[in-house]
Amino acid sequence: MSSILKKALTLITGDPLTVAPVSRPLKEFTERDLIRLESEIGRELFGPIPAGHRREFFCLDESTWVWHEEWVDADTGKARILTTRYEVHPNGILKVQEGQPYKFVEGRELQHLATATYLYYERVAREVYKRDPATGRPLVGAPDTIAS
Amino acid sequence: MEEVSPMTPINTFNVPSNPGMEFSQAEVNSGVLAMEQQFQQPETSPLTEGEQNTAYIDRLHAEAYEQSLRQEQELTAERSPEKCIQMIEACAVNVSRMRRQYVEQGQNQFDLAA
Repeated sequence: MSSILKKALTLITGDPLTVAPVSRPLKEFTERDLIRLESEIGRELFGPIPAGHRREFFCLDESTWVWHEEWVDADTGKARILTTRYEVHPNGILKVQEGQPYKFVEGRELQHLATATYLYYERVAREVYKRDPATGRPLVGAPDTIAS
Repeated sequence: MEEVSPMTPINTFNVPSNPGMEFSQAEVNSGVLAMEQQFQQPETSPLTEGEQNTAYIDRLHAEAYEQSLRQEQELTAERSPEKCIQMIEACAVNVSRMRRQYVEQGQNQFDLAA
């Protein structure tokens, strides 16, 4: 093999002499990974996602829920992004959107949000963490994913 | 009727106390012993594999029924704003706690539901 070809291959694949075989340890989930898994459930809670939309709904921390939606505007062809934070405050759930006045969630929206967070908790506990949402104990027949 | 929340198992039975019935300590102890023996019996006469499977399926069905019942109650319930806020907060606290517990205890990815 010509030296030029060897150099070209090394540029693409790396130097075989310097790349030792890696025994890659099993990757552990970070909080970010777990949120991504949870959001796969969260995005389904509000019905079918319109074609061309990307939706995420997840619990960010102990006092914040996030709804993130991306889509392409059919009229203008421009990408649109809307992120809504629902923050738990002692006197209510504050809805925070960029460019919009903050307001407390009321009425049907509050009911729907409560139902969605309840379903999220039920499904995430069972499907991601394999826990009984009512007791917090491992599910019957499921591998014990979190040592007690 | 008190509303069920994610924090409250629905199968919590409130057994009313009966002040007219009082037992001596010896009677209580013998009753406890009898109950313990009753619950220990399955260990001395193990179930067959088929019976174990049936019991397991029954338990799964019961769990699924309980889940669907609880979900139905939650979905159809008309909650007060205060209840809604409590529920939204309780769910966030519970999910965050489970997640943190999971990360802290270093479970690997193959333990999670795929």
